[in-house]
Amino acid sequence: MGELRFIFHQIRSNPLSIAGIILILVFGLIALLAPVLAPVPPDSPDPYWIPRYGFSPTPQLPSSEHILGTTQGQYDLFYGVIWGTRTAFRVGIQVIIAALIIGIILGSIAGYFGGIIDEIIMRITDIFFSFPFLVLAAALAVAFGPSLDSAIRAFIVVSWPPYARLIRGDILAVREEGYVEAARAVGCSHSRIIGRHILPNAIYPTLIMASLDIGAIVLVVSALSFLGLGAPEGYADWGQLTAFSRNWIVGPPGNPLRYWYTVTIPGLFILFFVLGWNLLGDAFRDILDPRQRRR
Amino acid sequence: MTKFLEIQDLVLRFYTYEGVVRALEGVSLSIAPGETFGLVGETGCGKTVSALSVLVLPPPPGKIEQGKILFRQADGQVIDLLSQGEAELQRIRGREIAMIFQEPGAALDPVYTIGDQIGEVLFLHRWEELCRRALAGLEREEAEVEGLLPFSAWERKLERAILQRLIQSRTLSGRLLSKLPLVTRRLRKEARKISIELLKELEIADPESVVDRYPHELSGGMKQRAVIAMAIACHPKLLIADEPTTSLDVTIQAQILGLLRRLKQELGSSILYITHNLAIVAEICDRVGVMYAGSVCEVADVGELFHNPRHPYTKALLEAVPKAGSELKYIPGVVPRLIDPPPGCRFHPRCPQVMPVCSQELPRLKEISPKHWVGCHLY
Repeated sequence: MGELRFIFHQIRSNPLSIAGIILILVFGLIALLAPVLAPVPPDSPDPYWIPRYGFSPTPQLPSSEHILGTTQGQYDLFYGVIWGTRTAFRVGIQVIIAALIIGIILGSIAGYFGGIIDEIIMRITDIFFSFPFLVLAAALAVAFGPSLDSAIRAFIVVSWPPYARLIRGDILAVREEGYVEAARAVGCSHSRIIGRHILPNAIYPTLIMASLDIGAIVLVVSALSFLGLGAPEGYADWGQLTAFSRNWIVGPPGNPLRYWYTVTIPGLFILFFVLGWNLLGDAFRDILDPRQRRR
Repeated sequence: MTKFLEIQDLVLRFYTYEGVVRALEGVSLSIAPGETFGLVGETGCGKTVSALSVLVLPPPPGKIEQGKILFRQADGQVIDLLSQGEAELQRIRGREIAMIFQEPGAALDPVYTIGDQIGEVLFLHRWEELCRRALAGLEREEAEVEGLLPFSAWERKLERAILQRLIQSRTLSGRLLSKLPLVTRRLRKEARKISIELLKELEIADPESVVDRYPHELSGGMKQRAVIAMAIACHPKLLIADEPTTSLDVTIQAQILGLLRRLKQELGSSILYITHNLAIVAEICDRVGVMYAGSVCEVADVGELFHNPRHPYTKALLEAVPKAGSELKYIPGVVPRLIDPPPGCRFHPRCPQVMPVCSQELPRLKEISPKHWVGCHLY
């Protein structure tokens, strides 16, 4: 109970944490209430496909029918950003959880057992580090075939190495602690020592980093979609919506801001989503990191 | 004299960048049932490494190269610990041989309460008993409560079936079943009760609240008692105490020593007591082994060793005990580097009675008078 109160105190004392929590809560609500906010047209095969109203390449201005107007190809922008929130959550959380699991398992094995096993696993992670992150992800996404799932898979493959490296370092430190030797001396098995004694003492920095990374992952997956390597055309995804606006950033001569909303609205969604996760990550750090907490 | 732990010619080496550290070079000693054996020597002479070797946990990059560690199990069977598989060793560690560590603060995991940590040992080694007690608790509860609701009656039936199955065998499916909150809740409660009993036995004030505390909330003496509680949780036959009182102040030291002596009598275990403090050895031990630079140089009963030391190193060590009013004596020279130890007897460069043979041959332990073994070319 005291612990819970301490957490609330910690959050309340930092306005930025509150901002982060509110942002993510608002996005969570949008994702949850998507069918209410943007009702799915009755003839739609899949709610994630943005309904389109014609084939004209010129975006339409906001009207009573399309609150935020339509983008290039007459996709409804409002529908797109609302359902795109679900896509953003799915992408961020799937990638982070899968990358965390892979990173933690490999990093723990490498750090705990050391020796040749450590050498093999860490050299493999080094191979991943030797490629530029985004280029490797893009190449893999192409290789897997352009779809949102393959973009997610590509990002899982490229984003576990930092976690593996981070947790290995922390495990190397914790491994030498007296209580690990003591656990061995009372007859604990290796898996029990790792799971019960080492990870709880070593995992926090990794979890904090992961929470900070969710926003970044959404950002880069959006970038991939922007390049046409992520979601297929017409799928509700913020990156793709910004891609649609590429030709309309500057409007017709004499009225350069005519189509401002096509780029600004999906951009703002991405901005606030990433900002929210980053602030929330800071809040997590305040709560979890034993070196930062306690007055 | 029956031995139940016998270390024979143990050789342990560390393979480091700078070279091979010959940490233990033919260590031999034996411990009888119910005996307290003291192992004394300077820092770095191999006491702790010897103790960890008994649990077959040589600190990396150490490797046990030679030797045998014969251990008589509870059923009378004598086994060589060094040739056992990991699963068998995990069964023995904590149950038959337990260790009390030097730094109680470091030996407790900061993220679990004292009760959880003692409970872990119980879950590992006294599983059956926990299940039995849980079952008994369940029956007691049933007898007390009348007119059960149908759901909780069904719940109890399930719980009882699982517990009975767990007592019979601990298969994988059983282990998974035991993770059900329904079952763990009761097992935890029983483990907590046993932990409280153990803490009570260790004369901790207010054991009911100490069980639920985290290590950082306890004083050094309390932590050491908690560590001892973990060690004696399964009534081990052999208790290895690695300088358990070094980090404690003198009054607590005396309490802990008294406690160990009492526990030894109650449990009938033997203790391998490692220390560099000769006063403690005189206080608590029955027999003593003196170690120097990786080998045992003299073994004798406590009285014999203190009154009639034979090895030149033991003599020098006893003379070096500070006494009020007289000048502090010390042993000239320094402890040898174990990467490149002196040939022959490792003490010969500092020995006042050195002979030519000393630098050629490593002396073996010889019984020069009944129960008094010395490893020196003088005898």
